[in-house]
Amino acid sequence: MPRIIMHLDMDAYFASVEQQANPSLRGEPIGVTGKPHERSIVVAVSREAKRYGLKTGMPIWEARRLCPHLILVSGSMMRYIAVTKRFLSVLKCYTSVLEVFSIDEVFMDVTQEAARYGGPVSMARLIKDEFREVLGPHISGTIGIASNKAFAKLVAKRHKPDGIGELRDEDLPALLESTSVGDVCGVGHRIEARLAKVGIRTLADLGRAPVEYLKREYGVYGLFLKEIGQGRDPSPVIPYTTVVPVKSVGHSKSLPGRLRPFHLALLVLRGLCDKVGRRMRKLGVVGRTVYFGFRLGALGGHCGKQTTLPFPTDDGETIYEACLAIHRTMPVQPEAISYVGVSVRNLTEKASLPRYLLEEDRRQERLNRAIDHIRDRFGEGAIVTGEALLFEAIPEHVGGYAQGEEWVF
Amino acid sequence: MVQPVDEPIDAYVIYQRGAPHPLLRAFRWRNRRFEVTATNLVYPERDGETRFLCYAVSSGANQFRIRLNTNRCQWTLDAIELES
Repeated sequence: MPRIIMHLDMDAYFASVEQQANPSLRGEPIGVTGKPHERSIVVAVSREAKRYGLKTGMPIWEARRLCPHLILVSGSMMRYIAVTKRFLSVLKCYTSVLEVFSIDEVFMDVTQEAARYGGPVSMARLIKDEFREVLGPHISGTIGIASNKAFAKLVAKRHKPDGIGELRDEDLPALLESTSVGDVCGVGHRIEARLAKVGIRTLADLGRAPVEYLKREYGVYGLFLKEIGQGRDPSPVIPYTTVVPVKSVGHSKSLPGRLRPFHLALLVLRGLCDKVGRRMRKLGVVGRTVYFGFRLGALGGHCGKQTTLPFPTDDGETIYEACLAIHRTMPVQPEAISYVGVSVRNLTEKASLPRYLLEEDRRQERLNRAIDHIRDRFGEGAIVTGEALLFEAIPEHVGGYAQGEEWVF
Repeated sequence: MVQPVDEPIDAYVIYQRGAPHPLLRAFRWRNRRFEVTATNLVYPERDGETRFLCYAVSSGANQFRIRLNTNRCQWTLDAIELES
């Protein structure tokens, strides 16, 4: 029995939520941004703004050039999370096989449930009607229906905004012929360019390519490409109830101009290490392998290296010190970097390890526990490291790394 | 454009069975009663330990942002949204 997979993609999500919250913004070209007065980017644009050619991630100066009467709105993550939780609660009534792909995208396997609602299309209609009632008339989503995840997502993309699209078996060959390889989720620009060099431009071309060639050139990923080229994607919808084992915990940040000098970037790194440690403690894991990476200058190459610690840790300061040790061994000692990232791998469950023997380690553990307790109760910004306070010296309009709250759906 | 107000208000609310949050029907601010004609969005916020429930509501052509301090059950008119 073929699967019935739905992909829900909310339309111009952040902008729609803002328009729902404030009726005076409805029908206007709006751009959602972190801080509207900054040389920043628009993280989402409304449908009206898209008509002027505005795109997500566009710098504000460019967005204003294309649409001089663009209204900039400060985004609020809490608002978007609240709406996401609300629409997920609607979807959970329809199926339990529901995978939260991102804050505004969900996959659902409705193979068992679709018949109960008169088929997948009428089920999709019911979901959209309920959305209108629960979320408000200005927040809508597009639903793509296919027999697998990759094509459900592709179909949703082609029926935006506020549409329902179903891929029937008889339509598949035409879709494969007309779809560029890069349109499928999981195929990036570089792979697309590499495939184009050997004349593979559409999904149908990909399906006709010899599997030996794809495997030789791309390894296991080549098999995925072959499947996609034939209209298949065996990847399952992973229900939200499934606990996926964590392989690594990491955070990274692209730095605004003022934070690019290396000594300031280290302050950001300190904050990122703190966040990594905090997340590891929440997950109950400790890790031994620390990776530290950065991008040189504005358009420079990426440098990264990892080290393995003698003992596993979940302490932000230890992770930070490991990053500094990695940096000292690097051949490149940059004056400015535009991106910084840290991750910890080689994870083990903390509960499976013996307790610390040294009083100093135990003290650090107690300190981290106290900090976590304060943050759980008063919020992430309630207690910060001394280094993070140095951020006060940085103008208010420069985005901070610690603004985001963690969210779990 | 948002004009901050931050003044306490009297709220006329229904706690309806099954509703995810109290339903705000009207409020009194500076001795004037405003009927809520549409609740556009309700979302949570927090400031340290204090948790709020924020209501983006319309009263006729006017837009208001109202906050319920859920720790103290106090209602505040947070801001008035003015057309840009």
